Amino acid sequence: DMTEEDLDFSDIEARYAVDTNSSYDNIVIVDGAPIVGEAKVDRLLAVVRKLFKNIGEIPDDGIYMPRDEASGQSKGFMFIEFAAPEQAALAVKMVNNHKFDSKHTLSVFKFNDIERFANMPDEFVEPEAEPFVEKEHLKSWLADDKARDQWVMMKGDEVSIYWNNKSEQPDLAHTRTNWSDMYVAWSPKGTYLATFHRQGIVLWGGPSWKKIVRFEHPNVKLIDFSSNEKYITTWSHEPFTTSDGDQHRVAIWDIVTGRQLRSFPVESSALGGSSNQQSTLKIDWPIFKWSFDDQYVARMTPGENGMISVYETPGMGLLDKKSIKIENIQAFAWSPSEHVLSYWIPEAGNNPARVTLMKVPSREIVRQKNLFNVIDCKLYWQQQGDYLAVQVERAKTKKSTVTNLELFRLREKDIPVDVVELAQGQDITNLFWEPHGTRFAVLAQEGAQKTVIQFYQMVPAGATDTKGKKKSAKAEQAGEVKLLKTADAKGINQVVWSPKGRFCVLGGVRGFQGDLQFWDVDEEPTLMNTGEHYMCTDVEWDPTGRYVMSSVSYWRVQSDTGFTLWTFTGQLLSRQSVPLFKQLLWRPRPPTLLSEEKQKEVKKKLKDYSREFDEQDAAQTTKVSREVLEKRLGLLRGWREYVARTEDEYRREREY
Amino acid sequence: EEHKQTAQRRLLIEKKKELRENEVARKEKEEQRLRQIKQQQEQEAEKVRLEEEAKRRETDRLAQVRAEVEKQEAAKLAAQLAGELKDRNVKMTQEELDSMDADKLRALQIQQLEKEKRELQSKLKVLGKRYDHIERAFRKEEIPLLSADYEE
Amino acid sequence: MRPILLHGHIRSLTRVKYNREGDLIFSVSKDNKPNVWYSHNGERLGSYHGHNGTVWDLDISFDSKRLLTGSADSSARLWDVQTGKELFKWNTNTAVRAVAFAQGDKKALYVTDAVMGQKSTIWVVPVEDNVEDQTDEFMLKITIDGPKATVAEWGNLNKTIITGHDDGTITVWDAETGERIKEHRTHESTITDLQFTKNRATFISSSKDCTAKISDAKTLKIMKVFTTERPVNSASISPIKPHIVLGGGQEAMSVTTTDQRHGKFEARFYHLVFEEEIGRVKGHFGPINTLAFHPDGTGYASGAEDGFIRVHHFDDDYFNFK
Repeated sequence: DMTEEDLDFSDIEARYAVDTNSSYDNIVIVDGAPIVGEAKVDRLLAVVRKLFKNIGEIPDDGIYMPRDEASGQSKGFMFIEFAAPEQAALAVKMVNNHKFDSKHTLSVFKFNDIERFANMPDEFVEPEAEPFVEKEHLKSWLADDKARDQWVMMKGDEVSIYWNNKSEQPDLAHTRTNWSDMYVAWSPKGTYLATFHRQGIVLWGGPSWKKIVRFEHPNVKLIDFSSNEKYITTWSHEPFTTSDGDQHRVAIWDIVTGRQLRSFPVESSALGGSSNQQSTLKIDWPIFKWSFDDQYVARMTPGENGMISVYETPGMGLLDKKSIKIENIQAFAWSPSEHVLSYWIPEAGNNPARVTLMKVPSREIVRQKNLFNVIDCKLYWQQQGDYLAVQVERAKTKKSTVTNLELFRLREKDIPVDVVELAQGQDITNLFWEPHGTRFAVLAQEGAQKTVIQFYQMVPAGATDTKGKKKSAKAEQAGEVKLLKTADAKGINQVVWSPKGRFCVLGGVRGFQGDLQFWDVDEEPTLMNTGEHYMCTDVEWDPTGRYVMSSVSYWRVQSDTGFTLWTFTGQLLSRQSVPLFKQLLWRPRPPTLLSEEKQKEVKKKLKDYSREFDEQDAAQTTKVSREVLEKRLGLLRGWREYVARTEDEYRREREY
Repeated sequence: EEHKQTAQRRLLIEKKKELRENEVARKEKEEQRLRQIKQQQEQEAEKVRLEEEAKRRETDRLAQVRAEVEKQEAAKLAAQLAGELKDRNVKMTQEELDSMDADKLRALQIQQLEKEKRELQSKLKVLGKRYDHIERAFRKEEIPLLSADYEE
Repeated sequence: MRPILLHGHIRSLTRVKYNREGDLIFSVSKDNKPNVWYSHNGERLGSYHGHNGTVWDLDISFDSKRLLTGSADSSARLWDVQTGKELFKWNTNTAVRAVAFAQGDKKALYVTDAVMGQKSTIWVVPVEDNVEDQTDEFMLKITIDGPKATVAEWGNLNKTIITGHDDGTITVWDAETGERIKEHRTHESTITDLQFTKNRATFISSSKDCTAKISDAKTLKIMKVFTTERPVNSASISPIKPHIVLGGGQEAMSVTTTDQRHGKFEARFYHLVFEEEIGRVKGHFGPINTLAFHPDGTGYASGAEDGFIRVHHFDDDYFNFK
């Protein structure tokens, strides 16, 4: 069994164990510079000198650039000596990860950190060659011949990974005690399992659950993976001390190399949420938001000097060396499919509130909408980035507010905006986009007592209606937001969509009673089934949209912890009562490798496949029922023998 | 003496007569009183009877009204149920539906709802199987691609 | 299966028991008045007046003529079932937790609680046919080192005494010498009930550890385990079918009003051999504290924290059920 003590962080610790009394304090190493021939050396040095001009004083012979003796070419790195150690420190801070030109990003280290170079050859070998050579196939779980999926479960101090077997007992794939000090998390495509330790984060994977990489971040509390699992952001409430002696809270890491790309201080004042008390630090995680393709990561600074700072991976340099100034910015979000930022600002003086869509890196504003009497806005992107829904809360009178939706159509000319007003007295509490789809669900409050669910569909301009006929000319031009259904949703506070779309579960969770509704949101949304998992805290779909797991976590409710597995149509498959059950997460899957054509072809031939699967299932059912029968017969035989024996003894004792 | 006797007898006779007259008058009076009482009683009885009659008539009227309302409501309910049943595509003619009372229609409706529930569940079973099989078919076809992906 | 509700106790039930024939049900509770009822219609025959504290346990003699009770008022008492008269009283230093007639009713045991320096103790006392001859002398005294005994029963032919303890241990004592013959940590927490099969070869124990277990009375080997999510307060074995019934729930303190809706106060039936749940019976408004199968297996009685006793007679369905 693995405990945190087994995790060897000694090499990381050694890396930072620097002799601070060294006399080389004023020397830095600059790596990642262009490799140039003899002819261009002077030119390069001049540019480098210029770059550091404002940072510190470099003596005339202060730059030493090693060159290959045979070719005379530079090696891409150089040593720079400053007049004072503070200047060297500043150089590291200011120029590290600087984009020197389109092809080169500079790394600047203190000379005293040279050990890092010696001990970390990984950074300098060809990164592409490294990951696959010795490592296990990190995606092997995808090839399960029974097309099953995995989940990780935490109960007490035990973390276990299971294969889902529908209504039969799950198969244990792997288990360890004290695997994680806090909780566990999957990376977005399921490749890695992240565990939390006092010293940092460890990622695990492959068929034997080997340690893949670790990130040293003392007292780490939160993490966030980039969409394509290239990078990870880590957060600790208590700041850690950087090699420069600064106090930082956030670090961003390269998962393949394990290297820290950059760390940030993040002042409490810059955090989301308006808690003034230091002790109850509230943060809007993730603070750093990844673009859909991992190319950028952006953060927001609120307030009068508000801005969005976009950093470019892997150098983590500020895009165009400056942040995007947006006074009083309240919230922002990336489009999930392109380099478009959305954000909103409140009313100021005579200027109305505004929702803006901006392209990156051009900073071109592609759409802006003014809104009046705004109290709050919430931004919800549809998964394909085709639509952005903005939930707008407005002051109606001095006391009452009213909510409506503004729907931006990103794929249509000039990005038209539809406005959806709810019925009198209805207030939107939450909005949930259908994944892989154009529908969304709205939970709305009607007075203090009544809750309703509404399903809407985005109908694009020029769309054909359900019967295949063209819509009227007017509809063709405009498109619409169609209300598909309104239904009572008493005791419901969550809508959890299938990752494949169309189906969703309405749940009353975390403080509600645990009522569940299974919906098929087709053209005519229908309630398929209802269920109950008393005091349910979590509802999770499997990554294929075939199963739903409801669970009661010990972290929130201390009695009747455990989980219930349902089919997506709401049929109960199994109820498991698990003492000290804390967490259950389905392992995500990357998108299928099958082409659209292949998928269509498979669907067309589904009957042939079905025959095979039916046979498999029937055989399995027979096998299971035979096993059950045999087990029972065995138990019965055993018990009868025992009873006969004791009866015999009893009789003999009586006679005696 | 004789005169005295005669006078006395006359007096006696008169006295008797007077007494008799008094008696008759008393009797008459008594009879009249009894007659009056009887009459009063009869009047009161009549009054009670009339009141009861009125009450009975009122109850009858109310019952009639209630019956009428009930009948109307039953008809309304029947119409509604019949309408709902028609909406639910029950294969029955309007005449057939019209001929049924609310109880029958309600039973029919329960029957219909149960049928729909059964139909929905069997539909869901097919749906569940279809989605499971699509996923399994995709996964089956994906396996060779995965190993190819790993080779890369 | 419509139950008969017996409402004569004003506080939570501690033990219900049928007599040998099953025509009577005896009950004790946290109020101080044991009761006796007709099992077929729930009519109360009478009460036994005298105790002035919680009555923890009871036992009925083979001929149903005498009732033995043990109470927190530091006494064990012998009663005439028919007249309700108190026949004898054993004064003790601490509360009496468990009582049991030996087979043949010539002697009995009672168990006193461990309190303030007093160790939990098993007392074996003679029971005289003629009350006049009854004394409060004891035949055997077993002082228990370690966690106190919470339940006690006589083993087959009175050769042994079996106790269940506060820490989940079950101990077999020699009923003649008082020696500890065998001991097994059957449960992880307090044992709440211990009931034998008719031949006393096997018993079922229930515990706060959320399980009931069937053990062999001689070897203490665990034969079967029945797992629930709640502390189990009582468990009983059907005399005619391979079934057991168990009941329990949270501590009275932590019961919330919403629990009832969720039916955590159900009596749960399990298949004895397969250890699988086969059914539940709802009804009580509080945790079930005590359960007993009818000696003919035709029904069962449950007593709960809510002060009610529910007497169930099984339907034909139950008997047809495999």
